This record gives sequence, C-alpha cells and structure tokens, in this order.
Amino acid sequence: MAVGSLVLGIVGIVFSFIFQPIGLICSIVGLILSIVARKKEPSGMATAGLVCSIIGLVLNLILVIACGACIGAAGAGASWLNSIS
Amino acid sequence: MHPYVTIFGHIIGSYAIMSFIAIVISALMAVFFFSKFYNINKEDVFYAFLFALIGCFLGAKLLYIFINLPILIQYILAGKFNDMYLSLIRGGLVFYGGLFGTIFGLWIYAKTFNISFKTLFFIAVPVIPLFHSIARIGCFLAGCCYGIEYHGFGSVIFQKTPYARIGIPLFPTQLIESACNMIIFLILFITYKKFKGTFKTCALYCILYSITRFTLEFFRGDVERGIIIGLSTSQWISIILFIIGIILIIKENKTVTDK
Repeated sequence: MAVGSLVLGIVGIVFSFIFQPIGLICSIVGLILSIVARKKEPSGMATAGLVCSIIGLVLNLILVIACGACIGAAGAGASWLNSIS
Repeated sequence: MHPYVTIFGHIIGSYAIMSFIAIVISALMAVFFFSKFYNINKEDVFYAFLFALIGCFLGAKLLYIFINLPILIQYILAGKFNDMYLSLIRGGLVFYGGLFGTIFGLWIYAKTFNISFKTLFFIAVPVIPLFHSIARIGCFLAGCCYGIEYHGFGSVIFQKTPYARIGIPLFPTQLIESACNMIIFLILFITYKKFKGTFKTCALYCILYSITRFTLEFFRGDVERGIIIGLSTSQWISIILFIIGIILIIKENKTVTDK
C-alpha cells in the first residue's frame, strides 16, 4: 500500500504537467492509500507517498481550477481559454 | 482584474492561487489552533483535513455539473467534446457542493478510522468561513461571481476577465461576501471556547452565512444561476441551511434545559 501510494504520488506530479484530470485521480488515490498505510504501519515509504501525493494534489488542483465558487460562466470561460490556448 | 498569472510558462488561475493560500491558512488554523480544544491527535486532524479537501473539490464539482447539466448535454449532442472538457474541468465550482462534500469527507475519515465525527466537525466549522473569505478574493481577481450593474459607491469595473461584463460598473459581490465571511469567522473564533463541544458554532455559521448568501444572491449578476421558482439554487440551499441552524439552536437549548 505504501509503495502504491508513492508510485501514484509520483505519477500524479508527472501528470500535473501533462494531463491534470489523470494526475488528480492518481494524487487522490495515492493520498488515501498513504494515509491508510501510515495509520496501519507508519513507514518512510508511506510518508514519502503522502508528501508526493499532497504535492501532486496541490499542483493538479492549481492547474485545473481556473475559476471557482461560481455557477455558470462556463461557456465564456471555455471559449476564452480556447482563444488563448 | 487579474484572472490569470503565468508561472514558468503555465497559465494559472488567480482563483487557484488564492484557494491554495486559503487551504494552507485553514489547515494551519485547524491543526494548530482549533484542535487544541479537543482531545484529538493533530495528525488525525491533518488527515481529516485532506479527506475534507478531496470531498470539497468533488462536491463542488458535482454540484456544478448538476447545475450545468443542460449545457454539458448540449456540448455532447453538438459533438463539442473539447468545449465540454473545458467546461467540466475548468468551468467552476459551487460553494454549497463543496460544503456538503467537506462534511462527507470528514464523515468518511471518521468512519474509516473510528474517530469521533462530532469532534472533527466541531474543528472544521470555524475554518469554513475563513477558507471561503480568502477564496472569494480569488473570485474577485478572476472576475467571476460578479454583481449586477451598479453605479454607486464601491462599484468595480472589470477590464480584463473572461467572466464579468467588461467596462460596466458592477456591484462588488465577491468582496462583500469575502468581508462577511471574515466577520462570520471572527464571530465563530471569539465564541469558539464558549460553545465548545456543542452544535452552537455550527448553528451560528448556518444562520449567519445563509442570511448573507441569500441576500447577496439578489445582487449577483452572473447569467446562469440555476433558477428554481424565482430563487437561485444557492438561495434554496440557504433556506435549508437557515432551517438547519434554527433546529440546531432549538435542540441545543432543549438539551441545556433538560440538564
């Protein structure tokens, strides 16, 4: 479980620069696994998995979230993002 | 205002940066201050915070998808999958979805690791308006959640934003909601010790925030508000939240009287 969390955490960090939705999923799963692993048996591997997953989660969230807490404006945001990308 | 900043060639939303700042400050407050009032391991509070964070994001996104389902279906039917992806991933988040997601995340953590959900909940409640207050400044920077056209004192004119109406003086709903949330946080902070171990802090938050949100929704100028029988989705949720707050106060008072 600790190894899995570390692998997913690293994959999450890598995918945050390539394709954030996958990075986000990997980071979330890695985070959950690392917490479960640390609760069961604290180890350096689980801690490393936790740290990597947190970094991955933060990076993915920052790169994914364009605008939050708002309802609507999706169309405008989408076309604007299309025009700048 | 400043919806995006470029860091190492990546376009990053100002909202995301403000959210990150809000997450860090909220985590520090929950782990190092509010947890002091209860007999709970700081590590557990931190892990629960991470679960709540995941729940918050998923909940906010799910409610956004639910409200914008017709638009997303239109994109699918028109075969505009790129637009649908951008709307889905980068479109937005809805606060109330995040709120319920946060509670669900805490509940999952408490159930999985056999920790008192009530304790985690009591620690999380005062942090919510603090997080919301900082995140709302991000809304202002992004130009989303903007107000109606308004020419009086404090009106703001957005020049560079993909969301708000450009060049028209607008009511600063984001800044007012941010200030209101900060006031709510300060009230909860001051009364926290007094209301320790009771649902009064939660009731106070429910009542104060629902009134704030219900009122501010009338000044919101965003086009798609998910209107149901003349009121927006958030106003309906505010009514439910207000009722929950009142029920909690009555229950707490009854418990005190019974004792």
